[in-house]
Amino acid sequence: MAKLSASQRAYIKKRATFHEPGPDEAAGELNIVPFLDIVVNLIMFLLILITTIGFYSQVEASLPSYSRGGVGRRAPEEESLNLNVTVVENGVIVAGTGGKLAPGCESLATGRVVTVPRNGNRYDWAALRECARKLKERFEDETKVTVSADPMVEYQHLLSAMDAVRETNEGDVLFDEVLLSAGVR
Amino acid sequence: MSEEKASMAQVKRIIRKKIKRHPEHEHQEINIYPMLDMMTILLVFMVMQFSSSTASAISQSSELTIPYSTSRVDLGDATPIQISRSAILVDGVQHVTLRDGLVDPSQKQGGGTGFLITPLFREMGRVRDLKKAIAAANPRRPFTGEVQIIADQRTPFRTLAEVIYTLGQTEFNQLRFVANKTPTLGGGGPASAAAQ
Repeated sequence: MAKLSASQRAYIKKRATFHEPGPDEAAGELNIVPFLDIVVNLIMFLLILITTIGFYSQVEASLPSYSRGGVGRRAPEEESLNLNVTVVENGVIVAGTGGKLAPGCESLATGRVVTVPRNGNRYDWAALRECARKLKERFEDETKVTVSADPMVEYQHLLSAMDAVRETNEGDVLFDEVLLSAGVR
Repeated sequence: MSEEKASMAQVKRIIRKKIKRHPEHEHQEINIYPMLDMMTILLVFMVMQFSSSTASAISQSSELTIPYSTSRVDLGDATPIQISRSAILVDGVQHVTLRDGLVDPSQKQGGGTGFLITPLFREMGRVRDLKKAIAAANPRRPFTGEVQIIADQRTPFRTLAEVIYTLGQTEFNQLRFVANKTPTLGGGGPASAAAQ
């Protein structure tokens, strides 16, 4: 075989070098892989955020409305409950048309009575729910409850009181029309 | 023994041989454009959904810890009012400064015993007028008087009562309290348990 000179070897090397095309050179397209990475990460981030939003719920309440009373109008035939739940420092007071309810929610009581006293240093929401259930048995058509609290009672306790009187553990509706009274005792 | 120098034809033959060893580059990539289209649509959809949600305005911190509730009602769309330990914000803009969750008497009509928070009353009056103007122009968006209250779980009822009273004075009487979902009655969070 004929001998190759240095210049011929260099020429062969230059012409025979195989150039592997990059992903962006393959068909004259843009390299979209980094963009794809960003989009995938953003989707995952947003999916996680949306899952977090799913943890929020809302508790509905309204303000009591004033209505004009008519002179000489007849009193309603049926006795209404006018349920009032007030969260105080040492428990929860449940009151109706007749007055405050005594512990156990079976009878009325007078004086500085607390219907559902605190159980140790915690409010007894299960007992309040049981009390609301007993009242619902006697006043089946009643759905309204007015919720109020002492000035320094925390907002969490107010929401817990609304939860307790809204439905039973089984999900049966008790008093789901909550009116929030801004009145302070 | 001296060898002859290779001819140009021989050099070209060698080049052709070397090139033949490398097969021509084949396009074997998966076509990812449909996936890319789908992902972009998903991304736009999620960004729109997130930005329209009031929950995007909730950022919990030591100043604002959302309480817990057993309610299963999903969040709706209403004017958000945030009550943290240090401020009251309407639609993300601060209007009242609080001290340990209490409104300063100078910001209330009637001082310490008053219930009407003046800066909040002014702002909510403006929001009400705007919403009523929208309702007049577009009957499909009536004024419902709904507000979403995002309050810290330690907020004293006194402050809440003042806010609610002020809202009532500006015709916002449908209150929606935002809470964390929990199956446990009485609040499921550790902070709540400690507070009790």
